[in-house]
Amino acid sequence: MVKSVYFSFMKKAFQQKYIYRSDSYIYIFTSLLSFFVQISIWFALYSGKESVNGITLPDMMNYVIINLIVSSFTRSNMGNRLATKVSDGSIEADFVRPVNFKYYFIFEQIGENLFYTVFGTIPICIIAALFLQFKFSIDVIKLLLFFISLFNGIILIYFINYTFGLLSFWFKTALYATWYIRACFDLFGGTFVPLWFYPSFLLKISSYLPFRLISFEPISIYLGKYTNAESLQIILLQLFWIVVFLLIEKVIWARAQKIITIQGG
Amino acid sequence: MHYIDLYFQFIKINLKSMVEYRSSTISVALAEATGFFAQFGIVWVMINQFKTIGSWGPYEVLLLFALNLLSYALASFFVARLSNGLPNMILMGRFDEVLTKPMNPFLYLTCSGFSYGYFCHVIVSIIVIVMCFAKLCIKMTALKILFFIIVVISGALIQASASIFSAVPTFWMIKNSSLRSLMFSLSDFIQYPISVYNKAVQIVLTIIFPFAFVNFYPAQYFLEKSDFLMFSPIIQFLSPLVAIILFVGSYLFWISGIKHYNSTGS
Repeated sequence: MVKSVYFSFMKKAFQQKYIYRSDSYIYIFTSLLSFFVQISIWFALYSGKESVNGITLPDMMNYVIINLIVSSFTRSNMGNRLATKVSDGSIEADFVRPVNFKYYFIFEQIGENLFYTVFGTIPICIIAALFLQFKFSIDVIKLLLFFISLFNGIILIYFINYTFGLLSFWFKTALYATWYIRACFDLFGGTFVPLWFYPSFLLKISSYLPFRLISFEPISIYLGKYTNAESLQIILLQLFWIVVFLLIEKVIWARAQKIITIQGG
Repeated sequence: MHYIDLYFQFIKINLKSMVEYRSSTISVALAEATGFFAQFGIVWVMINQFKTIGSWGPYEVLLLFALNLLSYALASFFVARLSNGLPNMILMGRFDEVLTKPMNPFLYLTCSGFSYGYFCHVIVSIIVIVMCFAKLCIKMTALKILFFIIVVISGALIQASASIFSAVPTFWMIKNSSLRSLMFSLSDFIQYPISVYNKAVQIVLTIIFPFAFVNFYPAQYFLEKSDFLMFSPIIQFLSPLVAIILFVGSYLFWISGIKHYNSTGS
C-alpha cells in the first residue's frame, strides 16, 4: 500500500514531464549538443595520439556514451526544490501529508529522470553507439557489478542532494545547494574529464570524497578497468557513504524540525 | 545624462540591499565562484594532461576560456535580472508594474537589476588573462590594449544579446527555462577553439549564433594565429560590428515582445 503511493508519485512526475514535453524536447536537444561537444573535444585531444595513460580513444567514446545514460539518472534538483519550499513556506503542506517526505522527493525525481532517460538519452545513445563503435560488455558478472554500483551511485547522489537541501532550514534563502554539489561533482567526480587523467594531488582529494563513486567508478567497472574484487570494494565503499549520509541526514532532520519557522506559506 | 545619474542611484540602492542581506549575497557569490573554479579546474586538468587541443596550446585555450567568462560576467552585471527574472515577473504579473514606471522598461530593468554576483568572475578572469599574456610573451602596445577593451565590450554585448534573445520569447510562451539552457549549452561550445568541431558547427557558431566572435576570432589577433577556418582573416576584427548588429537586433526583438505582452493579470 505504502509502496504504491510512492510509485504513483513517480508516475505523476513522469506524466507531468510528458505533458510539458515541448520544454523537455529542448532539454533533450541541449544534452545532445553537450554530448556533441564532448565527442568533438575528445577527438581533438586524441588527434595524433594512440593512448594517454593507457586510455585509448575508443575507451573514451564508450566512457562518454555511458556517462550520458548515467547522468540522466543522476540528475537531481531535489536540493533546490527543497530550499525553495523552505524559503516560500510551502513546505508546511508537505509536513502535513502522511508520507515520508524524503522518499516523496526521491520518487518524484526518479519519475522525472525516467522520462529524460527514455525519451532523451536512450535514443541519443543508440545513434551514437552505431556511429562510434560502442563496446558492449558481455561478461555477465561485470555487467551485474556495474548495475549494482550504478544503483548505489544514484542513491548516493540523491542522498547527498537531499542532505544539502535540508541545510536550507538554517540559511532560509535558497542555498544554491545544487550549484555547490554540481561543482564538486564536476570537479571531483570525473564526469567530464575522467579521473584517469587527473594529476596526483587532485586524484588524492577526489579519492577521499564520495563524488567519484556516483558515475565515474560504475563506468570504470563497466569498461573493465577493475578486477571483480576491486569492483566489490567500490560497492562496499558506496554503501559506506550511503550510510554516512543517512546518518547525517537523520541528525539534520531531527534538528530541522525543532528550529523550523514557516515564513508566510 | 539623466539616465547615468539614475543608474548610479540604482547601483547605490543595490549596494545597500546587498549589505543588508549579507548572508544571501555571500552565498550567491560563493556558489557562483565555486561553479567557476570547478569549470576552470576541469579545463586545466584537461590541457595539463593533453598539452594541445587542435593546434591550440594550454595558455591559448585558457585565454579563450577567460575571455568567454569575462564577457559573460560583464553582460550579466546588466542583463542578469532582465533575463533570469523576466519569466517570473511575467508569471506573477509584476511586469505590469515595470511598464508603469516613467522610463524605458528596458533601461529600467538593466539599471535596477545591477547584480554583484559576478565580481568574482571578473576578477579571476582578468587575472587569468594577464597570466596568459605573460606566459605567452605577448607584448601589449597601446593599440592592442585599446583593441582588447573593444573586444571585451563587444563580447559582453554579444552575450547580453544572447540572453535577451532567449528571454524575450517569454512574452509569448510564459514558460521558457529550457530556452535559456539551450543558449547556455550553445555558449559552452566556445570554451574550446571552435576549429575542433565539424564544419557545420563552425558555420553555425560564426553566422547563426555568432558566439565565436566573443573569443575565438578576436583572440587570434593577439595570439598571432591564422586559424580562420573557411573565412577571410578580416574576421578577427569584425567582433564590434557583429556585437552592434546583434544588440540592436535583440533590442528590436524586445520591443516586439513587449507589444505582444498580455498581462497574466494578478
